[in-house]
Amino acid sequence: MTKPQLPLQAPPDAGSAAAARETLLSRTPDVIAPGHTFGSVTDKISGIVLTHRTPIGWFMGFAIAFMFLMILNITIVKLLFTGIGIWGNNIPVGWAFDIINFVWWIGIGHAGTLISAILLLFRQQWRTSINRFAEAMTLFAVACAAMFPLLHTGRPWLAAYWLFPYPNTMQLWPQFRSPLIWDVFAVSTYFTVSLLFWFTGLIPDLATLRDSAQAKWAQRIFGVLSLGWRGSAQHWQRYETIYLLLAGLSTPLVLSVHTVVSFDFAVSEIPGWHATFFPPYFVAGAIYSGFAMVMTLAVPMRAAFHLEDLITMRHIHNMTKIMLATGMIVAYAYVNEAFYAWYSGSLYEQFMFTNRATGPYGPFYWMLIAINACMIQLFWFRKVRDNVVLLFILSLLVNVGMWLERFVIIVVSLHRDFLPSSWDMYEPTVWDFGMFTGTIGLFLSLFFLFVRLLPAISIFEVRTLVPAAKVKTTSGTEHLL
Amino acid sequence: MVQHQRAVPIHGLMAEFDNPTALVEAADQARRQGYTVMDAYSPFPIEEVNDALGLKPNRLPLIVLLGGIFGGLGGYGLEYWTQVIAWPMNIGGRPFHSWPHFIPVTFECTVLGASIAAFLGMLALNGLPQPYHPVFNVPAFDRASRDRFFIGCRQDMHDAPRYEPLEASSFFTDTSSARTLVANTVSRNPLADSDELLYTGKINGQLANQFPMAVTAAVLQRGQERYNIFCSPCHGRTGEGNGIVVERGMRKPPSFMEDRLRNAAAGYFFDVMTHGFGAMQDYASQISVEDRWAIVAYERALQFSQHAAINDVPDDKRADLDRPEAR
Amino acid sequence: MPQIFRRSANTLSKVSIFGLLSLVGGLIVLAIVLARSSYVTRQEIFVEQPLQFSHMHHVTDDGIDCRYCHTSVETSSFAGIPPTKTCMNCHAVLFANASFLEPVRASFRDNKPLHWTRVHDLPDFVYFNHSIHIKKGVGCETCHGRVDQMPLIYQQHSLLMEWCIDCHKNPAPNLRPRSEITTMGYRPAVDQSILGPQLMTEYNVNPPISCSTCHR
Repeated sequence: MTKPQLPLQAPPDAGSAAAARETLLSRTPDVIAPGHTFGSVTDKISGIVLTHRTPIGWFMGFAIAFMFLMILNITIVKLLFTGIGIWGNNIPVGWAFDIINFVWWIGIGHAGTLISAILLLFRQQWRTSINRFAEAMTLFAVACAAMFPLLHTGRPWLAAYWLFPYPNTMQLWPQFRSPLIWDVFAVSTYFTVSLLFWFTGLIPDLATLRDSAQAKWAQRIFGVLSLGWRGSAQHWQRYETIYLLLAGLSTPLVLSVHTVVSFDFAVSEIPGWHATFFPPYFVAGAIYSGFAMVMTLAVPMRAAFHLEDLITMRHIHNMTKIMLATGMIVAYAYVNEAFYAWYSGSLYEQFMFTNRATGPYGPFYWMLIAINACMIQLFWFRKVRDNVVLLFILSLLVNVGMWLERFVIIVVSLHRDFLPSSWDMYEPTVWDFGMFTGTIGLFLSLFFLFVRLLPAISIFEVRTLVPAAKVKTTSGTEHLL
Repeated sequence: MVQHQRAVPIHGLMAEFDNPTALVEAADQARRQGYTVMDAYSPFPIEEVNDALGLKPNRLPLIVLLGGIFGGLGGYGLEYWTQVIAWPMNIGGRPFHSWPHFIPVTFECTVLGASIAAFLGMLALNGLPQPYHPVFNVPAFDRASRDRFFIGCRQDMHDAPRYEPLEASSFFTDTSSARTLVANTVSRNPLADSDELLYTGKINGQLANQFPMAVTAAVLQRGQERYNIFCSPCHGRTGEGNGIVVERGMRKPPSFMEDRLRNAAAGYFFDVMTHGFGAMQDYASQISVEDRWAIVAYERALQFSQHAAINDVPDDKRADLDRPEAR
Repeated sequence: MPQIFRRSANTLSKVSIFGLLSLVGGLIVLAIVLARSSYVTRQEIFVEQPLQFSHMHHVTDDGIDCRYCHTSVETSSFAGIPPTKTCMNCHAVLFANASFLEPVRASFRDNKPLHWTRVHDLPDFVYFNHSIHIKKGVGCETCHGRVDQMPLIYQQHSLLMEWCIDCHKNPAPNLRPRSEITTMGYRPAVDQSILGPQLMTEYNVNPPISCSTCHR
């Protein structure tokens, strides 16, 4: 906090300090526009679901997303019938688009958990109107991510015994010393816990939809899904307990997930992978890319459904600031990579770095530096933070940059390994792009359906932001002690 | 089809409010008036209502802890069993029990177990899913998930806010619902020093050999009944000190027929009953003052019965002496 | 607000949760059981052959040793399916005119092999060697069952990897002296719990359970 300019002798003037705080606050937009009541926020959010008129833009967007989803279906069918030979992966680049996309999607998911769990623990009010769709984004992103480890086995039904411990006919068990198995446990736990957290948050809102819906069938569907929630104080008390506990459990979980993902690389001995700073580097990158995706989704959604009252400029600003902070951590990790290459004195590490910067894939490296290290400096400017259209474009670029980062780490480190005789270039095939764009289609299709069918913003939590939600008891409750 | 309008039995009373403050105050009032079966319904969680309703902290943290422990031990146990016992396999020369490698999966299983326990525990304790509930019969209750606040209460007559005798209390810190008298409490009975003879058996501090009331046949019968209840276990029915407790090993009390006791003042017996003597506890809390005197009178009768002459028996009763059932 | 559900929905909803969980659990158990069923493993299922050759007749009635036909079992990975010539050793004379044996004679005459249907078929990524098992004292009967009582040959055991591994982890109960290798209905002279470990030492039995033993 900036101290007001005062003579040294004078005691800190409480009045002017408060005034300074007041000016600071007046420059900060509120988390909810003034004038809202419990009923108005309820109608605003549930109206998106309960209206009979689906916006034409929704149909157009969903149609495009669905088209890409069909590309995914075709790719998967082709893959299952032919095998992963249809991909461009080959020695020395045995890992390519499959794990790039896996890490990219998993990373995107992290922002949802960060918003819903970590910001809850820190009692950040601005999480409230973005947590629901950010959590949905997490689920859909993790679903997309989980597809790659399964499909890269070629025949997932035969590969199940590598991944999951069950009494198979070979008496074989997963190899628990491998980071890839840790991945399976981390990702499946992450998906399950995120699903529970998300559904727990939905229960009271589903009850709202049950009570507001006019059609009998809608009442029944929401009635089944809301489990008969009736807003009892007893229930709320237990509900709040587990909501907080789930947040407390999700917080270390989300950090562990990308840590384990980074172990996939860090535990190996490939130059460019074998680095101790990978876990924090990956976690920061995950949150960075995740917030970019939240921004990418929030800006059009906010405009299409006129949610400016609930997703205010405060949210936009804060998300941008988090992107800036985590982006700077990622940029710092890039500096570290260069420093370690030089400081290690290892020929291979140094070659890895010069190959990255000046090798055949050099332009990709410089593109990612341009985006993740240079472009994000724009976020320092308030003018940029106020321009949502620009932010939308920049957040898309951030996702491109983060995809390139994984490409550089994975493909560029592999394609020229210890033996020059085995150096080769990697070229993705049309099926690689089919998988990648297909999962984007799956992600967006699920998101379009989610926005139309379920409350995209947590109604009951937004109600707590309405000024009337504050209890002003005169009698107080001291006597109860 | 004909819709049958069935009478719905009254489940409880419900009040509607349009802001959380009114809800909290109403809950507070209702609870102070002794309503225990009460619940509030609100469209968002209100912390203050928990206090107003007197909700206790729930047991979910423990359930979640147990779920986490179960998950963690399960995860580590699975790893240990598969890698060390079921099929020990040499992976890059690492020990079979390479515990640092087992940490990530153990951690994930802990979180998974705890989270599932949290979710299922919440549903189970809340009794969800419960799509049908009597509160949904209230016409305006659809706004409980929107912008209205409700309190529902019911008072079952079998569960009113009162204590059974000696029922444990959750209100008093010593858990005793039956309260002891406050120090220096003044008795509502006539004060003990208002009638020295009646309350102490003494006159001017000296044991008195007289009764504070007239000794009638009714007094003697009452005294006999009370004597048999309270005194006979030690002193025996005849007052010779051979009661059942003595036969079981208690020290034998002196016989009332001893000269010392025959000559003792009536007030002496009253005093011993009131304050105890030797091995004998006091009976002040068990025998009322009037009954103590009645017992003294009966003891006098016992003493007299062992030292009476035939002439002391009225002529018309002498025939009954041989017929015990007539007594 | 009218009730959306009837009172019975409360019970139904709780039952359906448990029902759903047990359905999922049941399906998993079913899959695990099914993978071991004879439907998948072809265990104890008779296989139609071009010629109804009876092992029971040749072993029990005629007393022919296994190795008379399966000549390479002691020296090679493959036990050996006899050429038609081996049949003709006897059947050039015995039942020489039986129409039943016409395919055998035709095969011999035209120098065209009989197309038997393979009964014991391991996956192609498995390397299995008969000779080492014979050397270490694993009898024919141990894996192939009472062939002397099979009018039509069938697969006695599941041949699942877990079945292989059970023995590789603990071979002692399945060992017999080399002299008894082809004995059908073998009973150990001394108790197997004594004989097994003895034979393990004597034949230096130390079955590997590393992947590359069988998956080369």
